[in-house]
Amino acid sequence: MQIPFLTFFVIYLLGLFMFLLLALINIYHIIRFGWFSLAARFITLIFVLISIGIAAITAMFLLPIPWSDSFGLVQLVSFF
Amino acid sequence: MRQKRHAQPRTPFPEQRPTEHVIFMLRRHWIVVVIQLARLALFVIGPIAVYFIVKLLYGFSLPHTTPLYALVVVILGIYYLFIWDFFFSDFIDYFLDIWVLTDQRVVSIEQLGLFNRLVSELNIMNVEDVTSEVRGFFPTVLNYGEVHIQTAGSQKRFVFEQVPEPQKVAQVIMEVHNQVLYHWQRHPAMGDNHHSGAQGASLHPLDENK
Repeated sequence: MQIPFLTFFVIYLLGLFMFLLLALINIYHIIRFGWFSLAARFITLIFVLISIGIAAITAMFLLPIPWSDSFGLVQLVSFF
Repeated sequence: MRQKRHAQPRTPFPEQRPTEHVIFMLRRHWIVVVIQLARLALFVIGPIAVYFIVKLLYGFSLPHTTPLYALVVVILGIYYLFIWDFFFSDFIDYFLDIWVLTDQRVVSIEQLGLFNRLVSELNIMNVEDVTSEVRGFFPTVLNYGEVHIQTAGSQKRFVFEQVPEPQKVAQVIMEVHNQVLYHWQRHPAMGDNHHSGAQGASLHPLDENK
């Protein structure tokens, strides 16, 4: 059975979507109840910047993967 | 001239009444954030440490074309995004938990998880007993702990959690309570907007019902 590498990308996108959902809820809270003070703005900015940083570093590691290829289950397990 | 929409007066906390004065606003002790940061650091370093230990012990490397590499990168990418998000959630919890003492009441604003926000208040006149509690090694060294405010009857106790200088906080609450009580006993017929004393206390106990 052949599995396309793209499956991993779809899993990553799902994870990213869940993260964005949680992040938006968090940002909503800090805006709604944190009175959007200077400190709250600063904290939100740091959160967004570091999140972008993590996504960018992950993208850097994801780039060299041959996304158009497929692999067999045996290939995945055989490493161990 | 362009008017600002939803213009609201800037107050130290959103539920503040126009006639009351804030005496102090408290958050938990800064050590709470340090503990959160330490936990975050542990979760960040963990997978990196495991990678280097395995590399040292078994001397393996993952070629970019292997499915295992893709799996590891995807899992770690999601893992780091989520631990960062959970840290932010914890920090918001810290940031939005506030205890306020005004010359009229004690207000407790607590963010309980993502979808639960609890705002409770207590008339300063109803304070019966205030207890501070410092328990444990770090709380003793850093001087933080809990302040319990007991009200009349079977009402639930108010608790300020992990606040700095709990003895001083308890003392200030009792001082404000005594001051308000003293002025109210001397001038029971005074209007709602009467202010007096260093704290600018509004002294009528029925201010609560305004």
